[in-house]
Amino acid sequence: MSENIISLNHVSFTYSESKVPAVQDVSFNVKKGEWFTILGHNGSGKSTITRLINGLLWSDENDADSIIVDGDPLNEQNLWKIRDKVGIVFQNPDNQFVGATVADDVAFGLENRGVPREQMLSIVDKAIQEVGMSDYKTAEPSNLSGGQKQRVAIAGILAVKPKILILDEATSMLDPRGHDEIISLVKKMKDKNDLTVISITHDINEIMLADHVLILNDGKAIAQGTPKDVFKNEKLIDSIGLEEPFIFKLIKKLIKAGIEIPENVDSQEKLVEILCQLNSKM
Amino acid sequence: MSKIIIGRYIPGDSIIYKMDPRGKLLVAILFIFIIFLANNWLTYGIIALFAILAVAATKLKAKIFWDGVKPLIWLIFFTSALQLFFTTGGTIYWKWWIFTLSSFGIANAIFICIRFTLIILISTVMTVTTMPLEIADAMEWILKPLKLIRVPVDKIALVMSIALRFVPTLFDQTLKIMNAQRSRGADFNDGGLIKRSKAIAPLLVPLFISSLETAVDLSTAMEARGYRGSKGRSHYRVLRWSKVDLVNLFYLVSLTALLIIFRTH
Repeated sequence: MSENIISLNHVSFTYSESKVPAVQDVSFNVKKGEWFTILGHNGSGKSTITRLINGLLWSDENDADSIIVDGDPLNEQNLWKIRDKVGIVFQNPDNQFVGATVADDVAFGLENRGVPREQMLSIVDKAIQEVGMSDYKTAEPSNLSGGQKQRVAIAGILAVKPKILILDEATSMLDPRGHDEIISLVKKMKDKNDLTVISITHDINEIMLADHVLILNDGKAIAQGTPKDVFKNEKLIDSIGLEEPFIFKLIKKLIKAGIEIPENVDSQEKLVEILCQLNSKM
Repeated sequence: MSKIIIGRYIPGDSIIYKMDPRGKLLVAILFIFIIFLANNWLTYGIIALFAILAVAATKLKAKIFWDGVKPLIWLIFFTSALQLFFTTGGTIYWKWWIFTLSSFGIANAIFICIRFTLIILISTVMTVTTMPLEIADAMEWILKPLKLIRVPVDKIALVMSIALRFVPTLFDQTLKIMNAQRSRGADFNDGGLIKRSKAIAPLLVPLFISSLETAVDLSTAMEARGYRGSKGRSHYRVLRWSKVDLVNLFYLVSLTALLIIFRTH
């Protein structure tokens, strides 16, 4: 659990049409098998970071230790090796659906890697089944909902067996139900396939899933740590206009009202459990 | 939103549907050349019979085929009229200025009319029984020899299949933009031609911009998923010949043979 699968060391990136860097001196480590959330407003540079990790964009000064993915520094030689290890689910469900049907789309990544057809058939079927889309194998994208398209995108990524799954605001265009379905699917797939998940979001409630949070503002990393630690610094959170997750607000209010809540409570389940215990004692 | 049908594919399950799209496309193309072998009433009769046979084999309503011919009917009449009034030879019935009405002219006009109609019928048989994607695959196969002269056939094929896949998406976007404009008072259905074209301009600009955004997103996604050109790619979807395709082959061979035997030499 302690091994770093991704490390960024003082990475900056400036888009060619702009003078201000979109990402400025950002460093962080993602541990193998953890759920890492990058939180920030639109334009805070969070999507740029995803593109830097798999070489869709190149950081301003790319040294041997700037970006390291699974032990390999990101450079021209390792580019495709790294892309094999990193799968990204993008924001817009339509704009990443390449194939004419569900099966064709799931096969796209395999086709690119020259996997023989006989192997592809079984891998595609298995991946489609894993995301629960078996009934839609030959369906065309125009007949699928946004959530279904995102499931297909996940299947397409699982098919090539990456080590890291990046969700680049993958649920922001979905309705609440689609959002919940995708998140629970990713949780399931993470455990089953031993994945490291990096989730990029501006949905504050999603960070409750995270082992580690990085908060970006104007391209700078302003806070990192466990969700609980990060939200302890109320002033900082307020200053960038982020609102604390409901659960933390509730805990603070309860403590103020004189109810004893233990330090280690950091999720809805734990809080409900504690409250039930307190209730039965009364 | 209701289901959009791209192209003119109509679902069905007759023998023509089971044929390999490559065979269907080849026959439809070769038919256009073979039809020029016909040069007398008997051979035109034979080729008409074969075309009607193919139409009947689809087991689809005759109206579908009539709909195929209808939009081109004026073109057919116009070309026939040219033949009718400008061909000289045989018995001349009527003559005025540059126009002549002759027995050759009448025969030629009828032949042209038949030729046009049959070509449309055969291509309709192909397009209504073959999905656009299958047609794209078949075209890739037919264009394969061009690889020798370095035409990027695989890339063209990928472009064709992506274009087909994005037709409904673009259609959706158009509807969204239209509704957005309508809610602000735009009117797409009233007024004359000029007024209507003016209403379309504010539709095209956002549509154009959103398609560019889609293209950028798509290329990023493709690259992230490991697309690095067609070199070393394998294919998930493959076409396979079956016994049904022998029927297609037999159709083509027997038609060609009959035409060669019975044409006027």
